Amino acid sequence: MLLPLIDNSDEEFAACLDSLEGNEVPRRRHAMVALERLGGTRALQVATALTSDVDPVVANLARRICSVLGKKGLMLRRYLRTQHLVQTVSIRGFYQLLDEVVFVIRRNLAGIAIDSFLFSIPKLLMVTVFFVSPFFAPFFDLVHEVWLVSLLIFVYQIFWRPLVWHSTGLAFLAGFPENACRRQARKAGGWRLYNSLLKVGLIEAILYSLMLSMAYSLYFSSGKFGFPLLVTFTVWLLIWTLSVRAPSAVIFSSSVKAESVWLFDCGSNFWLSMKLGMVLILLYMIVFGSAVSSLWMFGLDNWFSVPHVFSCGFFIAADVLIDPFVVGYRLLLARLNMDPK
Amino acid sequence: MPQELVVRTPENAEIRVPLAGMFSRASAFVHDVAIQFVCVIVAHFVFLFVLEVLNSGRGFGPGFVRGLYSIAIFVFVFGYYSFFELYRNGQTPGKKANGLRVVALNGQRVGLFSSLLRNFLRIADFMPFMFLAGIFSTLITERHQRIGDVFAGTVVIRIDGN
Repeated sequence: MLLPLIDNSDEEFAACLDSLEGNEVPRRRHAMVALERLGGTRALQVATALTSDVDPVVANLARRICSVLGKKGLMLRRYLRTQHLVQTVSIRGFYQLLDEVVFVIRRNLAGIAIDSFLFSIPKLLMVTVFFVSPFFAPFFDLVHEVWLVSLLIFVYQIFWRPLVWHSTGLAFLAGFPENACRRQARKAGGWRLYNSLLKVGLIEAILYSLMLSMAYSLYFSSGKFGFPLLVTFTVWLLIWTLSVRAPSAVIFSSSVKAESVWLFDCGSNFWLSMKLGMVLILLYMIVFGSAVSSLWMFGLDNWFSVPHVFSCGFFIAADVLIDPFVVGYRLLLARLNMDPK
Repeated sequence: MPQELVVRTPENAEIRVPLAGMFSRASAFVHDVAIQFVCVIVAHFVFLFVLEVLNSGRGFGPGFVRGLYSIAIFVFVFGYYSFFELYRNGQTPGKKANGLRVVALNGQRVGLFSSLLRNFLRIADFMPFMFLAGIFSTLITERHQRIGDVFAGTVVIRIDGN
């Protein structure tokens, strides 16, 4: 028996398609018969599209082809349909890196906003206390108790901050376009992750609390004393803090072992952190200035009668808004350092 | 990773262009403001020189020159963006340095009315202070548009290639 060396089914299939696209009823019906004879996934694909054809004979034949081929075990895989390629753009500069943080936040804006709000409740309570204090004497005395505020800062930074990383960090991770990261966001979590974050961020939290407490006490006791020293210390700590990628590494790996990896990478990220520090100062200024000018616009500027107390309230409120961005930035930077592509 | 502007051509082809983020746009804006600032300083010195000459001789009165100077500054500050957007392919020097471009929602060049509107509405974006309204608008609108962009039907895209 001689077998044809060239399988002409492609030509036949093309001829079938040509006939089916035409208007001649007999040719279309013949094409359907030919299609049934050809069989295969291609026939199934074409027949599926013709099950509701205007010609009842063609539609019946199409349904029969689908039925027969379906019984043979053929099926259309929907995920093999044509899809546009996921477009990627290289990050060419610092501002594009910040843009990417915003893009990721936008992908899970509701999730990040809810998580951020829930875990910012202690901060919001502090804001309320600061804003109410000029009109309510016990609160006014409370905010002038430097030791108490310092204690609150320490408790927040050491014990609550890992929770913020835990919630906002995972919500940010859920906004990544990569499936692996989104899976990680669903998988990671719980007491184990909190524990790891607590341990890995302990030194950072203590230093940060010291800085904030010092700033608060200096601000409320004498605004000028030690000011240059405070600014220098703040800038140094900001650069150092923003360079530490340990919490991000813990979230990405979700491994207890990661907590022993102290990713102190100040050297390579120094200028990047310096730039971010400047951007953050600008963002704080925008929020702060907007709040003050809004009060002025609505004729509520007499509320600003105790500026040093209100300033603290505005600063904490600005921090609530900007913190998810900082967490996101550090996570994205860690992700890009792990895999630059 | 970036979000995109999807433009459909009459041939039903789909063109996807990455949108510019708020920080790149802010960087471009600062760039442009710096250029405007230098130009205004230079113009001011020229104005002082002209005023000095007029005070010492005949010709137009100093009041006339002052009025002309104010109009020129206003036109320069507000017309700067529209001029570059209309005649330099949607790119001010700041946008060019940052690889950005202003286009209409259908991907075409921005028109005169759209350009004027988006630039006059910078005042709305500035409210209440330092573009907070613009930042929020960029964060919540689908195509990262500030208030001026929403009203003018424009969008800022990245053109620095992949």
